[in-house]
Amino acid sequence: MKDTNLGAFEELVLLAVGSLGDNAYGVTIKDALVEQTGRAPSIGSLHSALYRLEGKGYLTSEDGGATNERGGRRKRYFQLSASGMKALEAAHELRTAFSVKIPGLKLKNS
Amino acid sequence: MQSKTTPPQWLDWLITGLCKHEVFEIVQGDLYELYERNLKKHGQLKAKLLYIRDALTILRPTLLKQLEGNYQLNPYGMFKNHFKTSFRNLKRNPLFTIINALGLAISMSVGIMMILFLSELYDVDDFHQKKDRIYRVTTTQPGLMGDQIDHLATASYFVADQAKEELPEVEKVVVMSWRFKAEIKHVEKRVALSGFYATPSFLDVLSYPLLTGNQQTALDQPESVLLTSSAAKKLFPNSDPVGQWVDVSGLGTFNKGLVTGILQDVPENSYLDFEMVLPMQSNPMINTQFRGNPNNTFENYVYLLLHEHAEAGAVAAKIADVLDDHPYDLSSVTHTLEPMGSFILGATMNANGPTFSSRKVDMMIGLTLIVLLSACFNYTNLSLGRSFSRLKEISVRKVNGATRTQLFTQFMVEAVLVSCLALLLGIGLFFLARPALLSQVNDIIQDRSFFKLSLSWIKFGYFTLFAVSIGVIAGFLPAWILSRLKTSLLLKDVGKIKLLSGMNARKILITFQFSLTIGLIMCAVMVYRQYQFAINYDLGYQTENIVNVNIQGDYMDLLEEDYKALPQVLGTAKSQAVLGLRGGQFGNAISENFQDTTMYSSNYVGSGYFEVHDFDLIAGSGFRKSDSSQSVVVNQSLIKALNMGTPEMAIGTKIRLMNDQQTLVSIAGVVRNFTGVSLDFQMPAPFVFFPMAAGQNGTLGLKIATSDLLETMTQLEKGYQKYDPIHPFNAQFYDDQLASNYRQLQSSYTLISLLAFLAISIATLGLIGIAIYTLESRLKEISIRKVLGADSKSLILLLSRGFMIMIAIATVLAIPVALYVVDEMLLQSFFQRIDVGLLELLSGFLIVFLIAALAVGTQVHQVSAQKPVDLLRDE
Repeated sequence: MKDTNLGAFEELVLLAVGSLGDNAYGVTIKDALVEQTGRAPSIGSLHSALYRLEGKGYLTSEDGGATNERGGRRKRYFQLSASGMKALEAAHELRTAFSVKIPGLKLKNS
Repeated sequence: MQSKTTPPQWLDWLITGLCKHEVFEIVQGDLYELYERNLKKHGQLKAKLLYIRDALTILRPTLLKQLEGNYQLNPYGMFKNHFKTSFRNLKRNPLFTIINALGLAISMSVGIMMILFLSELYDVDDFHQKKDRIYRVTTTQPGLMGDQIDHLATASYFVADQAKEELPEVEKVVVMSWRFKAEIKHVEKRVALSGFYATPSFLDVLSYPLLTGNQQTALDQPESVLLTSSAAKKLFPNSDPVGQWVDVSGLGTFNKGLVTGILQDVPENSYLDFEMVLPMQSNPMINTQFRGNPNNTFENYVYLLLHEHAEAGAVAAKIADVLDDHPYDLSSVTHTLEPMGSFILGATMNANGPTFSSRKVDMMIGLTLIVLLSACFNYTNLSLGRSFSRLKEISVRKVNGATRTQLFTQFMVEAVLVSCLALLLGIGLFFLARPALLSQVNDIIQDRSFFKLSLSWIKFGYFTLFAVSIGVIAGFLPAWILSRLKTSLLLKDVGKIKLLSGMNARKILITFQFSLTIGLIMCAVMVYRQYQFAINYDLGYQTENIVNVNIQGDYMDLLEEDYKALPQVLGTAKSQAVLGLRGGQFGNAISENFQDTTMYSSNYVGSGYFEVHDFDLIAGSGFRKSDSSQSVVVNQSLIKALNMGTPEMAIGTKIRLMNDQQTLVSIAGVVRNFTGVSLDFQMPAPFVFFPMAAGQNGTLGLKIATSDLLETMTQLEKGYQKYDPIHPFNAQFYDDQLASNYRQLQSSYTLISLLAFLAISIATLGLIGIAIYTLESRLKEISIRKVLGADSKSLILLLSRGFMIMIAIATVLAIPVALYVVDEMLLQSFFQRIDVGLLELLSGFLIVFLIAALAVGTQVHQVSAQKPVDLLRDE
């Protein structure tokens, strides 16, 4: 599959959403990214990416419960759509296909 | 668990306002959750800070709200459309556009002038580094005559010394003398320079830097002379002036000076203007006795440099205390500290720099604002009036989905456009008017060409800002009203639209504009009458065809003989001072028997004086040389004041002068009373003429009869230069000198007339607008009346009635205000006044009435001439 025009950060966000299953909303996605990458994205950039990804069709969203903690405001839960999954697979393939061409690059297989 | 503290509310408001609708709630929710977490982990302060930081990250294009409606599809398209529509609309109604733009342009040129003028006024003395700590000590004391109070820019040396010794708030004291002109000679070069004496602190406190020489010590030696760079070039074109000796004459004891430093030329915006500075210790007037007398408040300017944080009021109070402690009774003398920035606005009498009273400035600002507001009102009026032609456009736009805000913006854009167009026109008008304006403004200063009214890029920026704000102000009301109109009404029945609330307000505005115009016209007429009165006033002596030559040497007798030989010179008259101007000498006299005493004004004159000036000698003759005591000629007032009986009886009697020597003089002649001083100045009425001594300098009056004035003046100049090659030839017609007394009055008159003209143009434009509007909405009524048999005359009367009532009301309002303004502000210094007659009062009314009648009349005629058929046919 050819390039899906996915930015690096967007790819990470998709990965994070996917890894969280049913519990992917703003704060948890941010925490997951911090845990995996060691860098904390700002709320603005995160929601910006989520908005765009949903616009591209890679994510679906659902409004969830409001809690007191959030001052009575709702959460929005995101989930990977089918095309989102495909996009992630394609991205991974692309990376791998390129990397094996580099002599001396040690790729870990888990 | 809910915590008591919440993140800052204003950020919530910001997010709600700026963030996309679909997103703002969840973003806020996330922010809140993070806040709670941070609260537990880090505490309130850090949590709040982090919240603010995170909240600001939402300011990115993806998350921000988008423009609504059409703007979303094509943001530039709508603005382009607005511009296009505005341009087309302006083109379609050229009369309306021109009237508006012209009215605004005229008032803007006034605004431009005010902006430039004010910025130059406040830029004065900006180059002084310690400007905000420098103060001038002013004196308030009872005047020389009667109940006048004098405000002097000078103060006593005594106060200067006390301030330096006793007051800790005072860091340094500078004392300067009056400005004088002295001749400086070096080898063959001679030049007359203006300057003053100053204490050495002058170089420390004020920022007049020395180009060469030691700033600390240059004024320390008694023979020091400081010259400005251009003055030095005149004397020392090729050599270095410092260290060279120069000869000084005209200053009494100071004969030789050593140039110790060259000052940078005085900048244009400097309050003080000089070419030379001499050390105060060489001022012959200053000795211990003079310095110790707190009553010598007239001769010196005292500047104080206060320490940082010192309060001027406290210092002034302490000075008052010092005066209290003094054995003399100084209760009537008060001193205040005047900050440097206010020198030029000060209301002091004998200032050492140009003065522009702050009241005048306020008046000018006030008038400018009024003119500007007038033009804005005009725009509003005319826009509302013309709105009928745009109703269809507005309704079509609304049907197509324009929101109220969009309509509002559209009309504002149009107003700002017209305003910017007016700005360009205004700048052009300003350049045209600039020379005239400059001469008026500099005339009031009467000192030097102080104001330049020059443009710069920054000022251009101010103008643009100014134009845009005018556009916004002017356009606000029409934009607001027009955007409110209901679509259904617009399309259905145009006739039913009555912009009612606009209507009455507009009537009030027009009335206000008219009363302003009427008031200004009345003021102009009254001031003009006063000016004519003053110029043509019979002074009691002859001033026509007399040329006064200023003499600054001891050669007046020789020059007089030379001039007598010229055929054009019919008579010569020597005098020390020129009568009829402001100021003069005075003294006290007491009768021989010590019974009566009086003040008198005086002058020294030559023997031919009374004849040349045609004084009416009612008793006795001119000066006699034979008597043992000096003989004098007096006027009737003096005789009366000293109770000497009839003029004939007074001849030969003696009076005693109250000077040091208690001189006795005998009266040789009595002249009829005359006016020896400008009409806005007060001097004692009794007059004493003293005979002029040989070699006294002053003025040589020449009675001239010639057909070739230029040739005569050249000959006079040649004759003069034979004796005095240094001082420039200064000769003026006596009448011109008298007229210059009232130059300020003339300037006021010109300024007021100009403003009156502006006001009338603007008001007329407004009236035309409202006339058009009113008549348009009454078209059907007019045609029905015509059909029922009304003739043109009664129609005209009927339609004009409303306007005439407005003008009448405006007149009634304007009269008392105009009278007050003229009385209190413009002519209050005049002691001889014209009577305000019916002509003056009605002048404004008549002029405005005529113009208004013309404006309204033409419109009415146009409308009533139309055929009723045409008007009634269209539905």
